Amino acid sequence: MADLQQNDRLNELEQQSIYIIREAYKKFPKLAMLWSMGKDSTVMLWLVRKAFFGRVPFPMVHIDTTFKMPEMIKFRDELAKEWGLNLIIAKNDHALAEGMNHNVGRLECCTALKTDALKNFLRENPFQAIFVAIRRDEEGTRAKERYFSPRDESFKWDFTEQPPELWDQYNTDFPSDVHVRVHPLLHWSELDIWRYIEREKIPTLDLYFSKEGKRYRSVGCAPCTKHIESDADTLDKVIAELRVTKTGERAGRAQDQADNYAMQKLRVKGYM
Amino acid sequence: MDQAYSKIVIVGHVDHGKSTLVGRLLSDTGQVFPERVEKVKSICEQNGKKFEFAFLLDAFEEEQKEGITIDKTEIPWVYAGKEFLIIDTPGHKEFLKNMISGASTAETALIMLDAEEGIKEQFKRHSYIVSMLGIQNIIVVINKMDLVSWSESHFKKLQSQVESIYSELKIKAAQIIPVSAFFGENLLQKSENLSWYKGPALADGLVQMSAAQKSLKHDLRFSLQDVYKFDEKRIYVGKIESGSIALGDEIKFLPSGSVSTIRSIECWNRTTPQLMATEGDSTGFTLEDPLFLERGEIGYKIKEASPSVTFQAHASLFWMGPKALVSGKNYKFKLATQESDCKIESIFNVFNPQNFDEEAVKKSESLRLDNGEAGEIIIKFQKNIVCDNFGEFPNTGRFVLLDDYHIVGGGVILSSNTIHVFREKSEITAAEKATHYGHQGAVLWLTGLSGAGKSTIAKSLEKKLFARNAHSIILDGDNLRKGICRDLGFSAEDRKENIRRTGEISKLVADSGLIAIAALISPFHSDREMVRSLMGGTNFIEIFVNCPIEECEKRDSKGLYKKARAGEIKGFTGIDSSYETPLHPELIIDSKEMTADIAALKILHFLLQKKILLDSML
Repeated sequence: MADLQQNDRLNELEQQSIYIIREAYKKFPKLAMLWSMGKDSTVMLWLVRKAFFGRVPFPMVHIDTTFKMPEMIKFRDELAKEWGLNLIIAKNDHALAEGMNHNVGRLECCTALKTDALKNFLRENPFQAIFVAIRRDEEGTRAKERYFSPRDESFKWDFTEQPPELWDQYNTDFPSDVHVRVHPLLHWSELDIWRYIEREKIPTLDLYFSKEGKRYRSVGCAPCTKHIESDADTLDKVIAELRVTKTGERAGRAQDQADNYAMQKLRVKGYM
Repeated sequence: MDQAYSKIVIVGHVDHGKSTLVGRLLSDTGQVFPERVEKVKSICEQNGKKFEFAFLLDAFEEEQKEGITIDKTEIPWVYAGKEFLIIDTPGHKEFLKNMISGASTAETALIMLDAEEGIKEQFKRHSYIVSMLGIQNIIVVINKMDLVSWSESHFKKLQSQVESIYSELKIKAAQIIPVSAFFGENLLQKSENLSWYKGPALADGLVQMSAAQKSLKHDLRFSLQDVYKFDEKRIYVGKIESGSIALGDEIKFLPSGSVSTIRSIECWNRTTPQLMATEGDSTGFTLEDPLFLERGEIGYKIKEASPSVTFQAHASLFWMGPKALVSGKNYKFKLATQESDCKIESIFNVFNPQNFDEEAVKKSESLRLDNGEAGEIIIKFQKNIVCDNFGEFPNTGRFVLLDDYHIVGGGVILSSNTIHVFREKSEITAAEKATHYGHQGAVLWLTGLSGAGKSTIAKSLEKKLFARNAHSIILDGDNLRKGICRDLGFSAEDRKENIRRTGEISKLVADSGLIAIAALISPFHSDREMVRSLMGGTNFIEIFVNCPIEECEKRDSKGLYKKARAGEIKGFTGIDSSYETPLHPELIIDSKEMTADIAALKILHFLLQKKILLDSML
C-alpha cells in the first residue's frame, strides 16, 4: 500500500515535470539545460529523455569551475557519449587566469566561477531560457522560487516581484531581453529524487555511496564540499538514511554557511 | 484517483499567525533540521528578538528584518502517516498574487483569524478567493486564543461572525478550530486551556479532510501541448486533464472538429507497450490518420460528453494587475493550452471585502476591477475557445488573463452559455429604469413544497407591490404549463426544461426593469443553481418557502397529496420524490408560522433592505 502510494506520488511529480519541460521546449526555441552531474540535474536529464521519447533536443551546459571532483568529470564524459548529448562546457577563463579560488572568499569564488561563468556564457550564446534542477526543499530562498523565473538583462532575480503561477498556467510570455530560468524539479524533495533514481535505475555518481564510512550527500567543488559519516553504500541504504536524518542536505556545502543570508545574496546575483 | 499527498494552503490577514503556525507544526513534529533552528536562533539574537517560528519559512532577509512574509513557501510535512504539502502564503494585500499562486493547487485551505483582532479585510478576501478557486475543504483557525484568555464566549462570538459572513458569501467551512500557534496549543494535542472545545486538534482536523477528487466528471479532456515529428512518426503530446485514453479510442478534437483513432501510446524506457494513460498524465500518442493539429486543441471521446465551443463566457475573476481591469480593453486569455485575445464585455457582482456594513457583493454593473478585487465578467474571445464549466471540469474550466506579458487575472468559467447576456442591449440603462420605476428589476424565485404557500404569498406580494406603484408579474409554474410550456410533461427532463424556461422569462422581465415573482416547487438544487447561473448580472433572490411536509399535506388545497398517497400521481415531491432544501437561499420564509400577508411583508422589507425597492417606495 505504502509502495503504491509512493509510486503514485512519483508519477505525479514526474508527469508535472514533463509537462513543464515540454512547455519550455514549445515556448523557447533557444533552450539549454544546466547539468552539474549531480543527482538532481541527472534526474532532470532523464525526464527530458522521457519527455522527448529518448531524445535530448537541446544542449547540456556544464559550468566548470575546474575545482570539481575528478569522478564527476569522468561521469560527465561517459554519459555524454553514451546518451549522445550535445555537451557544452563553460568556464570563467578570465577569473581563473587571475587565480580565483575559494581562499579568496567562498561567496566571491562562487559568484565568479559559477554565476559569472554562466552569465558570460549566456551573453555569448543566445539561449533565452535554461533549465536548472533546483528544488524547493533545498533551502529557504529556493522554496520561494517559480517554475518559470524571469531574470533581467544582468540576470538578477527580483524576488519581491515574482510572477503568479496558477494551476498549470505559467508565465511563458516575455520580452526578448528577459532571460528565464526554468525549474522543472521545484516540487521534488531529496527523498523523491532518490526514490525515483531507484525506480528508474538512473545512473548516479559513485560519490553518493559510502566508502569506508563516508559518502557525499551533495556534490560540488572539491574544496567546498564535505562528505558525511555514513555507511549507506546502496540506494536502499541511502533512502533509509534520508528518512531519519536530522541534518540538512546542503550542510556539507561551505558556501551556504558563509553568512546567514548567503544563498539569498548569491541567488539575487544570478546563482542557481 | 486520490492525490498521493494532500496540499494545504495557509491564508488570512497580515500577522494573524500563518507562518508561526507552520513553523510550529514542523518544529513540534521534529520535521525541521536542527541546523535550521540554530540558524533562526542566531538571526533572532542578532536582531534582538524572541525566537520566531515564522523565520523557519520566511527565509528572505527582508522578510525577517520586517517580520513579514513576502512570498509563498512550500514545505512537505508528514503527520499520522499521511503526507502533506504545506503552502504558507503572505497576508499583505500587496502580495496577493503570491498568495493566489500558493492557493491555486491546494485542496485544503486553513484560513487564519486572530482572536484578538477579529475579522479583517484579508480574511474576507482570502475566504472568497479560496472558495472561488474551488478549494473543497476550508478550515477556519481562530488563533491567538491565549490573548483572549482562552475564552469560550469570545470564540463563540467570532464563530457566529464567521458563519454569518460565510453564509452571505455561500462558503462552507468544514471546521472552526481555536488554537494558539505561538504556544502550540490545540495543534497536535487537545489543549487543557481549551477544555470547553469539543472538536479535534488542528492536526487531526487536517487528517480528517478527505483527499480531493481531481475532477467531478471522468469524461476525457486532452489538451494538446505540441506535435513532435522527430522521425516519420507524428506524436501528439499533451495532458490528460480528465478521464483516460486507451488504444483504439476514437477522439474528436475541438475546435477543428478532426476525428481519428489512437494507434499507439508512446513511451520510453519501458519493456511492455503502454495501453492507456489517465488523468494527470503528460502523455503522447500517434493517430491512425496524420491529422494536422495545432497546440490548443482539446480532445474528447465521441461517446462521452463534449466540451463547449464558444466565443464568449460568463466567469468569476480575481484581479491582481497593477492597472485595473476595464471593459473594452484587449487582454490575452489562456485556458489549458489555448490562447486567444479577448475583451471584457461587462463586469458585475463585484466582491466588496472592505466595508462590513454594506452588502458583500455589489450587484450593479461596474466599470473596472482594481488590484485585489474579484467579480463576475462576461468575456468575449477573438476566436473560438473550447471550455467547460469549472464546477464540472476544473482543469478545462479555469483560465488566466495576461496584460503586456504579465499574468494579471485568474478566473473560472461559470457558463459558456451567455446567449441571454449577449442579446441586444437596451439603450435605456438599468439605473435609468430603476429611477423611472422606483425599483430595480429583479427575479424573486419562490421554492418550496406543494402547499407550502408559494402562490398565495406571490399573490399577496403582487398586491402590496402594486399598492406602492411597483411593477411586478407572477410567473406561476402551473399557469406557464398552460401556454409557453404546454409541450412539456412531468418527466425529469421536462420538469427541468419547465424551470429553465421560467428562469429565462423571469430574466427578460427583470432586465426590462420589472419584478418577476416565480413560484415553482423547483425541488432540485441543480435546477435552482442552473437558473441562478442564467442570471448574469440580474438581481436574483431565492426565497425558500419552508413548511413541514405534514403541514402541507394537512392543507392539501389542491387535493394532490391525497392522489399521490393513493398512487394516482407518480413522482410527487415530498411523497415519492425528494425536495432538496436550499443551501444558501437569500431569504427563508417559515410559512407554517406565518400568514401569507406577513410573509409578503417580510419579503417587501427584504427588498427595501437590499435597495431593490428604492427609498421612494417606503
